Amino acid sequence: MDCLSTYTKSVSICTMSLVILSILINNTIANEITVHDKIEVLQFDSIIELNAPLCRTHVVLFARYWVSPELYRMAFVWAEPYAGSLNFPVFPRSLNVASDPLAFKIEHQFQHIYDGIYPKPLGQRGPFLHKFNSYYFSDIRFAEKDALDMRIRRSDIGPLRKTGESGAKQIFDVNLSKPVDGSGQKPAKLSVRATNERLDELRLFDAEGKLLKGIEDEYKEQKDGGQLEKQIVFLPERPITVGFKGKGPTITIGGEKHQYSQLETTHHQGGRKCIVDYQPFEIAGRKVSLPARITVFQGDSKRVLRSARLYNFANVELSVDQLNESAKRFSFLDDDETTCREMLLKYWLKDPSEVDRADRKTMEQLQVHFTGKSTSGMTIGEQLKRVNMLMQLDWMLGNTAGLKSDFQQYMSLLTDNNLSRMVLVGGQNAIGMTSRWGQFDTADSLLDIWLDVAASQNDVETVLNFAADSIRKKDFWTSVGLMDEVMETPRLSKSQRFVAQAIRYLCLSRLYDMLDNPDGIKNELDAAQAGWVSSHISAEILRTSAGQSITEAKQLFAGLDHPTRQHKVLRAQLENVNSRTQNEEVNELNDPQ
Amino acid sequence: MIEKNPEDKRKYLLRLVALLCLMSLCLNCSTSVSPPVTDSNTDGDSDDITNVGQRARDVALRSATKAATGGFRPSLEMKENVDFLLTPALLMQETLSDEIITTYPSE
Repeated sequence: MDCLSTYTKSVSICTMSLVILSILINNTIANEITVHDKIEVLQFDSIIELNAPLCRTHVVLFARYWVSPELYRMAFVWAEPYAGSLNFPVFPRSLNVASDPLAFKIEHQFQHIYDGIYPKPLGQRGPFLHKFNSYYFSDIRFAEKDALDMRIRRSDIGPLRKTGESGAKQIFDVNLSKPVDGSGQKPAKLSVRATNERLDELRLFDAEGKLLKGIEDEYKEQKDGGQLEKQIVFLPERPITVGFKGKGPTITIGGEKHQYSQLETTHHQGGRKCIVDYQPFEIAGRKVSLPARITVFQGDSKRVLRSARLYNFANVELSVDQLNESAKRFSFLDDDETTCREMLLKYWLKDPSEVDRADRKTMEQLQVHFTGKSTSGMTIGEQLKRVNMLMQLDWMLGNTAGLKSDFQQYMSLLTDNNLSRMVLVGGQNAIGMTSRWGQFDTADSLLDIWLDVAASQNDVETVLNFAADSIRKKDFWTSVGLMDEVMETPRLSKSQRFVAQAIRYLCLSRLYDMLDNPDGIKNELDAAQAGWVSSHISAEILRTSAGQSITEAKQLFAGLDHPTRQHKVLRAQLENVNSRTQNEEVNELNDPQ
Repeated sequence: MIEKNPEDKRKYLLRLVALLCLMSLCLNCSTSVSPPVTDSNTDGDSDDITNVGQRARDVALRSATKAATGGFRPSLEMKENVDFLLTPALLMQETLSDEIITTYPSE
């Protein structure tokens, strides 16, 4: 009897194992796309602007995407600002991300820290563990899982009715089945509003009835029906669990101590409003609305957190092999570009006289190559890559005329592509880099070019905010020039004039500190800036100029009808810096040694 | 006017004193039976104090949580920006699919 029971059990286990194995094999075969099979993909380019209000940074990425309903791939050809620091977990140039039903892949030509193939299913993100602006780029894979968990199928809401000419609405709720994996994010209920088989509004709720997402569709009326023109999406703020490495903080309340390894905080603070603008495009003889611009705002404010422009749509037929090849060809550095990178690493911040003869010849050949390279058909990202490489060669070779002309071209590329904020950031970084190479006269020439473009392409408020951030970055000298340029602007308000004059004073006083006490300069960036300033101007002139600036700033503050909190903070800052400077001067008089 | 008998007058005074004593007794009894007003107020305060204490603890915990989680905020900002890179691809997939409703893949 026992033997029979064991035999039955063994047969059952074997049968179940075979069934599971066959399901797995079937699924794999069903999901696998053979690398040689041709598939239709939509190819497009994108300019992605990312703002980080907390870190006060602005980054622009240039990418190409290939998308089909089953897979996608993205390849980053360039990112700005190039010179100086870029607020992102990895330098995005040559970064590739691919996703198909079997795996999520990350590959970088030079920085392999996040390279990897992550088999699907991707698993749960778990508590959020990153702090102080760090973030593992590889965690991006969980964003895909989160998005797929939120997807709604047409079959979930069923067919929409024709409601006739009267414009009558079809309004109904749908309860969705519970997610199999028990994840809380998947919507449990939908609220639908539709007219004439067309979705007007869709709201997604969780199991507790809390709104997860609200979507409103706007259509452009046409003879052959409505064409989706705009989507307005509201994402409410939501709780997120953050985890502490180690034991976590101890919080004492009323004498009772509690240790927390995890706490709950708020994600999407204030909510997010996302606007997607669509444009018509023809795919296989069918007119479809494709997203052409995505803009994400903080709550209901006008502050843009990030945006993506999608353009150059093209239907292409490629095998997965060809797609991979195409993505790498687009985003990876070619041999000439790699040589330029190697030269830059070898001669980083070295005097042009230190470049050996053979390398000089190589660089000159590269210069001829990049200058003569046709830009026809190049994306803006590829053109920026080319002009940045030319600037690198100019720095290494000490080519003043070339640098002026390439910088001018760099500014034009940014303005022609509506990247006016990057004119401020990227231009300032390139000028700073020129001064770090010790090419002060060239830096002066670039500063003149930059000031013209920066002030004409940006509104006064943007320039003032940028200059205020520049004080934190210790970019004082370019900010002084920018404030002088702003104060030339006609019809500047009293408030704007006060802020500009205050920033000017703060920058001048910090520069004076540097020149007056060179021993206090701790890093190479400050040393380069001090060297650049002192090549033209003495500490004494800086002090006099700062004195004039603070006098005028004080008068302007006194003339403000309703000073804001920002004005008062700035006024207090002026007073602090001024009294500190005066104290130091008194100390110097008392102790001239 | 009829002058009252002194005996009657004495009885009247005795009755009056008895009545006053009875009233005083009743008043005392009612005071001791019903819960003292001050005691009643103390109970309410105790509840309020418990609530206020809990609220104070909640506020303190929220404030401490805010301080303890402040370091995560810049990384959450970075997460949003990094995850946004998938948005064009995922949104386009939704647009190209006949099966999926375009609902914006939130980063």
